[in-house]
Amino acid sequence: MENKVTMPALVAMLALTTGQQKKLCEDFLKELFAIIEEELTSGGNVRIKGFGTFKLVEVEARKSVNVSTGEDSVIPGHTKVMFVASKELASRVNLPFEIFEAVEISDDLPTDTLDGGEDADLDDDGSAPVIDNNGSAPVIDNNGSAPVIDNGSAPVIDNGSAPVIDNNGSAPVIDNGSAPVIDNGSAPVKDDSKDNVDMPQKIIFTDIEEDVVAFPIEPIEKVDEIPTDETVEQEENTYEEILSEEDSDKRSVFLKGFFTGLAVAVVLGVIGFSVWYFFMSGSDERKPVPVAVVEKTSVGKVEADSVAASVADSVRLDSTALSTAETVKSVSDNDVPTKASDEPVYDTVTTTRYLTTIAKEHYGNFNLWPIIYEENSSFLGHPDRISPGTKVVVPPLSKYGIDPKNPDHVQSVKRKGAAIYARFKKAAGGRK
Amino acid sequence: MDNKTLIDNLSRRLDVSRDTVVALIDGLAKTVGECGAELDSVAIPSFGTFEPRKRLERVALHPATGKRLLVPPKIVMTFKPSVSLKQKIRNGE
Repeated sequence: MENKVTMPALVAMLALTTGQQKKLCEDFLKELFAIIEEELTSGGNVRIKGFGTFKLVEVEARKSVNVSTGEDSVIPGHTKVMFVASKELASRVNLPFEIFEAVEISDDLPTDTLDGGEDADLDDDGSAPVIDNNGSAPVIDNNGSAPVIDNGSAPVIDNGSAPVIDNNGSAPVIDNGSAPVIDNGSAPVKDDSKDNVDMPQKIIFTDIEEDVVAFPIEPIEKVDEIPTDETVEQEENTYEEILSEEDSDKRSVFLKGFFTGLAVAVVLGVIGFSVWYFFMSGSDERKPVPVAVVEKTSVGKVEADSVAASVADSVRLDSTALSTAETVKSVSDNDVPTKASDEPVYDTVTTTRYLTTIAKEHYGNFNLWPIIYEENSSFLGHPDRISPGTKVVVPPLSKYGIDPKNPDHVQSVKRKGAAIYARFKKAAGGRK
Repeated sequence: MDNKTLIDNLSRRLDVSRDTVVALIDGLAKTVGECGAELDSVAIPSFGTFEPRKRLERVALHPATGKRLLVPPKIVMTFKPSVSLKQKIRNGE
């Protein structure tokens, strides 16, 4: 669209269309236009059937203004060459618009929207608008006066030749309808002049400016090949539709994948959580222990307000009961009967035995687990995440100077426990 | 020069049959026409350019009925002679 087709490209297209050799096509074109030129320069017109007519037109002198200086100047009379496309060529060129027809407008439309300045040509590169009926009219139709003729063809040609605005000179005699002139050219000049609009009667073209690129009022079917803005819009619309379709497809696919992934993540999360919880309950169970402590206190005849006392009792109780309980409870074969003694004592952390359980049994107070932890801290990670089967050394409380009966000691041990957790909270970034 | 003479001239100068010339001319018309439908100009060196122009829709007055008509937009083929051709015409003729 709006490209310039060069000679080589034209040759190639011609060779493709006719099936002839490229050389022949090239020679043909050269010869053809050479002949036309010769004929024109010797004063004759050239009519090419199916293509159009090249004709010579006399132009009378007219007054004009020199653009640069602003002085009045005169364009001398001269001959110019014009081309009128044949009907076949015209219809082929207008192919995108061929379905459209002129339409009557009802009288109640406001005229100010329709009337306007001069006929504007979209492709205008500075040359003034050209009349539709591109040449036949000015030749004959009008009063036969030269100035009118000039106007019809001047904008096409003269503008390029001299830096003078031809159009102004002929402005007052714009064909476009200063007077009810029959511009159509369909009547007297019945040659290849194209009658673009298929209408039997002649039409008067009024002086109108149409910036509107829009289609006529009534709805018109969409044509396949219309190199216009409308088509571009329509094509864009459909292109947009395609894009949005693709988008919606992409979106639905994305959504499906998203929700599948989400479900998988949830399932994994549930599994992971249950594993973690299960594992956690294997290493750190505090709830059952207080219950046991309470039971023990009620069992033991000790003051209720003294935890240490109860612990002490429990210790005593434990030390007697544990030896049997230990062997019964222990899962691992490496278990050694426990005693708060100076000898190294080992125990194993399992899914049911946590540090707290061990502390409870060996020290009589589950809160003293940090002591066991400290003793084995070199290879223990997170206190809640000790692998089942980890063998730990259960140090005697005396090693750490902790008296289970002393509530302050117990308190300090508790604080130690908190510190251990805090260490991991920091290290793991808040992960428990 | 009418069509017949032109064809004869061409077939003589190109040393091909008249049918070939006719086919070539038809091909040219078709090619130029198709370019025009795409609003592409065809430039012939030292001769001129065939420029398609889009005409906007316009309101015309029906002479007989006096009614206003809306003429649809269209593409027309115009010809812009090259400077050299114009000179030749001005001077030569």
